[in-house]
Amino acid sequence: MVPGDPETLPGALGAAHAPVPGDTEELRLAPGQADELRLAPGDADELLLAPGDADELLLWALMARFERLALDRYVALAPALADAGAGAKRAWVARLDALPTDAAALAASPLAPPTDALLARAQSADETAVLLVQGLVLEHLGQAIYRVAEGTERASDASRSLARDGLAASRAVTAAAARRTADAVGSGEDLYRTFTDHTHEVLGALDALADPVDAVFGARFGLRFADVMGEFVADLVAAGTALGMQRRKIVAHLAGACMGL
Amino acid sequence: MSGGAGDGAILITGGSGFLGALAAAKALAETEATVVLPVREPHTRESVLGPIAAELAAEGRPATDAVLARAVVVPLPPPERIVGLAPEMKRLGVRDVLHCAGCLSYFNLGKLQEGNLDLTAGLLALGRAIDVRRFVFLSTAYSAGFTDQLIPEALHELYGDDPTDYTRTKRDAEWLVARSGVPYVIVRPSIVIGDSRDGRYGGKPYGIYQLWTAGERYLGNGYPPVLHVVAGDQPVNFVHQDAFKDGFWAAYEQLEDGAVMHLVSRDDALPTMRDLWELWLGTHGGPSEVHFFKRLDDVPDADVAAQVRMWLDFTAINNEIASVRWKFARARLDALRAGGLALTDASLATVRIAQERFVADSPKLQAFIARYREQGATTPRFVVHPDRSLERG
Repeated sequence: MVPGDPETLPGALGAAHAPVPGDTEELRLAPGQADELRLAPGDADELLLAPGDADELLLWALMARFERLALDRYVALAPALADAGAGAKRAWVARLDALPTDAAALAASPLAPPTDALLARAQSADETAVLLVQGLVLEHLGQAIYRVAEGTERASDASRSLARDGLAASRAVTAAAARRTADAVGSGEDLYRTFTDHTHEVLGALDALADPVDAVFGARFGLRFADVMGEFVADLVAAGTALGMQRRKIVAHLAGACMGL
Repeated sequence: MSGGAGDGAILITGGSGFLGALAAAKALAETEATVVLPVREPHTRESVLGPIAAELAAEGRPATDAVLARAVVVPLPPPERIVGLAPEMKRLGVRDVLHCAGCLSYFNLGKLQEGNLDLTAGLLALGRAIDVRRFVFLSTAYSAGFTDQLIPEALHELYGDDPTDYTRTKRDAEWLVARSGVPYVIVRPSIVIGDSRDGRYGGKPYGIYQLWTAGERYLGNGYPPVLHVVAGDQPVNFVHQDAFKDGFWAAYEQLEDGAVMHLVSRDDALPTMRDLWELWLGTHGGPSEVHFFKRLDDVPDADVAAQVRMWLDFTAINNEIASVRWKFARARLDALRAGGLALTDASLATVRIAQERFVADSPKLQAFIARYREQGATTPRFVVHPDRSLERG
């Protein structure tokens, strides 16, 4: 790869980080991969995201807010997640920070109030909360967003490439989070009780994002809230059942929390 | 009133919720009694009385200052300390308790224990402490669990598999009430739906509203060309909120101590879930094909998009309950009706009123329907798939 060469960056990163469904090896970044993710400010992404791509930059500004909080919580309370995948999340946040995003534009958008409300409910204060709120729920939400963004042909190559890399970094974290959750929180009915207690509020804050997401990203990208939620719920249910919780109960919790019951 | 004279204050729990607020509105409209409403934070007097006043107004009974002054909102302590309210309740003259509060979580055992069992135990202790004249417990028609037998208006000594832990804890709470020594009546409503006259509905999106609300949120960008739905062919027992209000009140006033009553509609005209789908899609248009499945397991995963699958998952438990023919004994409600209680049974025509109100209250849904019509919404071809569970045995 030629640093700074916009023609080669998307394909090169895409090839390096493209996930292989069901392949757990994807979760372990090879030596050097994390370095690839740690692009310095001023690198190619900036060049690829032209000033006209305000909506795309808004998406990345939004994701940066979630990812910064996640990394902050991991560093403070769940270091294994911060270090997972050779520090994939640190590298990813550094990369998002290097993008020419406009925090003021995000703050002025209809996305800001529901995002503020959601993140206020995600200020996890102990390791259990971090594992469940960030490591399980919000990472899988992020993966759903990245997958939908990666799959939309209306996004630029740069954004689709970024989405691929965000997905890879997140998958490294969720694999580590699953292992740590099993060790620290448990499984089955005990985990279900803790999971429902810790995640109800943050799940309940998602619905307020529906209209703003559709309004800002729907027409531009075809990235719609319902599509993201469909992917997110499928992923989260699969992750929860892998941790020993009953599918029927997880779905009931998600339905209740997401629909304000 | 069979249980005693109608004087004295009435304590109603769940006043900040749907059915408790309906009971409180009825109490304020039908009596001159003080109505005591214990609620927890973050609820305030204003937040509790708002929906009650709205319900009174909708019934043409304006909530004047004098009426609302009879409502006394007090803090509800934790279950183990509820009995400590006894001196204040005696001072207020409370003689009857209408226990409408509960936890509707399907599987959160901690919340169900606290909201349905511990809370009921605490209120029963209070009832004993104030020598309550009548304790009315609001349960659910589904506390029997799944069964194809006639469900008696009696405590369940035999019961089927529970659809959820909610129904089990309601059944257990019925037994707590029955064994408490207080004079009691148990009322078991079926699925409460909007008012039969104007469709207004003050509850959260449970029952048919969960299906409609989930559709609004997750299918509101457009139907797939072929829509897969889970919809049984058995009548679904809805009870309108006006019927709930009048029936619940009649049970409180007129039933004998120890009575259990199913507050349900007569079966004659009840719609099936398929009827409801045909009503919705016939009214608003839909995709070219709709495939009916009786069970979620029969829906082919590969043929449905992720958001449709989520919508099917989110509504699965209610669809499961609706796929069964529930046979509720109705002798007590029939006797009240014979004595002059007028109730409107749910039917496809009255559910249509609730559906129309739901759409009228949702600008998002109206926009979707208009947009979808422009794009060629049609009355779909309905395809009914066989129940594969019979093949699986």
